[in-house]
Amino acid sequence: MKSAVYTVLGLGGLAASLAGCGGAKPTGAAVTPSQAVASARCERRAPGVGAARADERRESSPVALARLGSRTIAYIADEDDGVVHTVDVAKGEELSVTQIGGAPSQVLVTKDGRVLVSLRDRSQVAVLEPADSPERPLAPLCAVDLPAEPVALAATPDDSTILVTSGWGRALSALDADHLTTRFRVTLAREPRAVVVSDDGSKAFVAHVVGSRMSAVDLKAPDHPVRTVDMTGEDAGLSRPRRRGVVAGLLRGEPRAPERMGCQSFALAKSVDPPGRIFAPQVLVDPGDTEQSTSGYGDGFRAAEVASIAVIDDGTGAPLDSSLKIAAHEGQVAQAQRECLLPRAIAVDPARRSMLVTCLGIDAVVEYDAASADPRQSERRRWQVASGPTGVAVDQVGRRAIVWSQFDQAVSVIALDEEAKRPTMLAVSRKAKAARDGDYALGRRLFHAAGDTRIAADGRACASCHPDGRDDSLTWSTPEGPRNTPMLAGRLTDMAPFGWNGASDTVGSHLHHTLQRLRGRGLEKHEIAALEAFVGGMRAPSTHAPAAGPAATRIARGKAVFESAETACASCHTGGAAVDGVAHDVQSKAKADTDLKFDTPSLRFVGGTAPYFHDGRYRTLRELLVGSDGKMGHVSHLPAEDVDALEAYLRTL
Amino acid sequence: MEVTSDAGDDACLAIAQPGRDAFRSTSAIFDRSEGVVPVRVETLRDAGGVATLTVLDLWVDPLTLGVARAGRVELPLARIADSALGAVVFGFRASDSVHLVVPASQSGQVQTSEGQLISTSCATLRIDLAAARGKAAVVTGSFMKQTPAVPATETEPAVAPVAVRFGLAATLSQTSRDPEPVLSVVLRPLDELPAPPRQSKR
Ligand code: HEC
Ligand code: HEC
Repeated sequence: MKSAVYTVLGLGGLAASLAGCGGAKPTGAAVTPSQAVASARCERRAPGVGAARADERRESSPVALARLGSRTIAYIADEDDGVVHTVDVAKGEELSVTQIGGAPSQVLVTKDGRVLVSLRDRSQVAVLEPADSPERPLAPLCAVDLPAEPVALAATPDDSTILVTSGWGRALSALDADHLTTRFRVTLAREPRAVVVSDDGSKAFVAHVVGSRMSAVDLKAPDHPVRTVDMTGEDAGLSRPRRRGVVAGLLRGEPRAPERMGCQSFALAKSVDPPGRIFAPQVLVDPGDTEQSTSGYGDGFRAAEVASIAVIDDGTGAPLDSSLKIAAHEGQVAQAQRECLLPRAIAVDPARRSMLVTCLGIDAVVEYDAASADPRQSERRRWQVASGPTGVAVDQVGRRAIVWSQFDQAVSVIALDEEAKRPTMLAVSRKAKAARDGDYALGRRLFHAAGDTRIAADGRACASCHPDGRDDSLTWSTPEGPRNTPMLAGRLTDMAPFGWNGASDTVGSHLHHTLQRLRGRGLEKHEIAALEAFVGGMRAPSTHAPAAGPAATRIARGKAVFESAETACASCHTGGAAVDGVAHDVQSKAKADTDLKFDTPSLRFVGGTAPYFHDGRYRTLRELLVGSDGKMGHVSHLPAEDVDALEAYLRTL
Repeated sequence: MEVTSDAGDDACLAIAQPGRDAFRSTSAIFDRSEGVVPVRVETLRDAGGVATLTVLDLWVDPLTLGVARAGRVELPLARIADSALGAVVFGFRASDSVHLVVPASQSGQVQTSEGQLISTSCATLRIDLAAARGKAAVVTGSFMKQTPAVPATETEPAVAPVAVRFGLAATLSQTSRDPEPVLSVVLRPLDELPAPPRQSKR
């Protein structure tokens, strides 16, 4: 086995349009295409050489398949080691390793056999091509700059366009498939992930990890409007008494239909038979009645989280209600050990008319009937796989599923046509330096441990509310009042005390409260320490390329406004993102709050963590600046340009 | 007054009256004051994989014990799903609806996503699914069934039947692109059977 080392080079001075980060509007809008961002020629240098795309799958995943003669080859993106592993699926053997550097998150094989790899941390997509033999590493062609954190890719049905989502950059970029130059780009809502294109090529559906929505982007209309698909679920035949306590509310006949917010939508797949159905594994969340004080996270009225697989009609762009409805007899019982609360990847198996979903935490792959109107109810089989399954692909010729497990850095191969057979495991080579220190690795497993009743009685994991170490954008009912989930990644160092009230001096002591609120049985001391190490070391979103020109001037102006004595912002939010470590009354007490003072929160990454305040009362930064005037600093005296500048500055923190 | 069909254990009686629960049993109980009651007797025959459902509609007068025959049809059934341990789902389609016949023993209960219960204590569970574009039907639940007995062979001992709980999920849905409603039936054993005794190593 040979390997090549190369680094994808950034583009000095050529910043990609960061419209995704700057757009104030939560809904999408087309922006001017940014020109030529590829750093070298991206076309194939050796056309026709090496493995070709294996099948009609046009969506990326951490595992992508290619075929060379009768061999099925899997390309696997390994975020920890910064490499792509090339594996012979039938032989169960690693053939080569391509050093990419950065954090390769997903792979797409194009029609002509090129291998596109999204590099989340570098805000690039690396373009490579296979050598004549898969025993040799992939050869780099070019790297394409994109808005912050490109994750998922998809090709249009005619293979003319490659679409790329940017998670932190909140964008969908459409690139010319040959040259990888930008055709257009649209701004999306928070945390987009997977993308699939409708069979007729007219719409792209984009999953969002938070916000109970999916975006449907019009690929044909000149301004590429974005429509929001509401992914909110509902508890069938049930209503929650509102406001005055369960019993009193019932007596007063004040029902409130318990809505469930769609969350954890990382992956999408398109069915083959029946055609035209888009599958979106997600979780339907009931964060509780925030006007009540409750005994934990959520009010325990119904199971806080229930898995679902939404089915979207690709013709109408609307979900089938049946796939968003939780039957009356279901919402109460959470089968902690079995629920797929952290779905991460999906692939369809046309031959069996089924779909396979990987579930983090319970380390399972579950097969569901692809014809079902509520696939979650139509489970066929499940397999135990190596720890941390984040990717899956189906080898239709060899009738196998290839599953990548990031935590174990291992591949599980499932024989699809053999009943009751255990997957075979295949370890890939690891770099010594990436054998992460023990605490971080243990902490990561614990953070994603769904179904672990030591952490939560009902099987919720830390990652349920802090997906990718960020936040679920939800406001939970708690004993102290409503609490909006804070983003963790990159926001904990030097930010003590913790919790909105600043009640805990260390992350460890905050976690004791967390386990109490989740009614977990408790973790060992060294496990809490491992969690602390993990949350403290989680990768922060890649920060934006420094702005230039008028944007830079505006940001500098915003900084001056922020630091001015009139606005007084910096008197509490010292130095922008830093904090004074003191709790203040900014007249933000909500009905169920037990305390009126709140710890000054860090404003680091504040542009990407809407909604705002401990109770999530402000949906946007603009709403916050207008609404909190006079209670938290002063802005009403500012001319409109200065408010714009202040907002622009906040988005750079 | 109790009415039992003489078609034996394979027959299921149901009172075909709105307002009555969709409860099926080997016998039905009437109140003498009810007047004449419509009764449907369904009998499933599964002869070597070719299954038919005989539907007999009767009028029963609880006062006089008079029984009048209103109609009889024999419906050929399609085999829709099979599961390990011998469970099977039969069914037939009628324009926009699908009707499932599930051989069960002892007891079964399924429910629609709206919470409507369909239960049985006779030989079959019957599920009717109707779908329109954008409005799917979903029924989920479980039932008990005996596994088939396996006679002894020269090398293996006989296996006695065991009651196993099976899970059933049936849906019917039609998206804008489906020319007709799409049926999904998933049937699988929910109980793990005790592993066969390992051959002792000497
Ligand atoms: C039910 C949703 C939920 C779950 C599950 C959850 N958290 Fe949180 N997390 C929150 C909320 C809400 C807050 C704010 C709490 C407060 O202020 O009282 C928070 C706050 C935190 C903070 C403090 C952040 C700060 O800036 O002050 C840390 C650290 C944290 N969580 C880590 C974890 C870990 C580790 C786990 C798993 C053991 C976990 N959380 C599980 C919702 C959740
Ligand atoms: C008196 C101290 C104080 C001053 C002055 C102050 N803040 Fe705050 N800030 C807070 C506190 C406390 C909160 C949290 C309030 C809550 O959650 O209820 C907060 C919250 C915020 C948030 C939301 C953070 C989040 O993650 O939800 C933003 C943005 C913010 N402040 C910006 C500003 C700006 C801009 C100014 C100047 C106009 C300012 N603050 C002045 C104390 C202050």
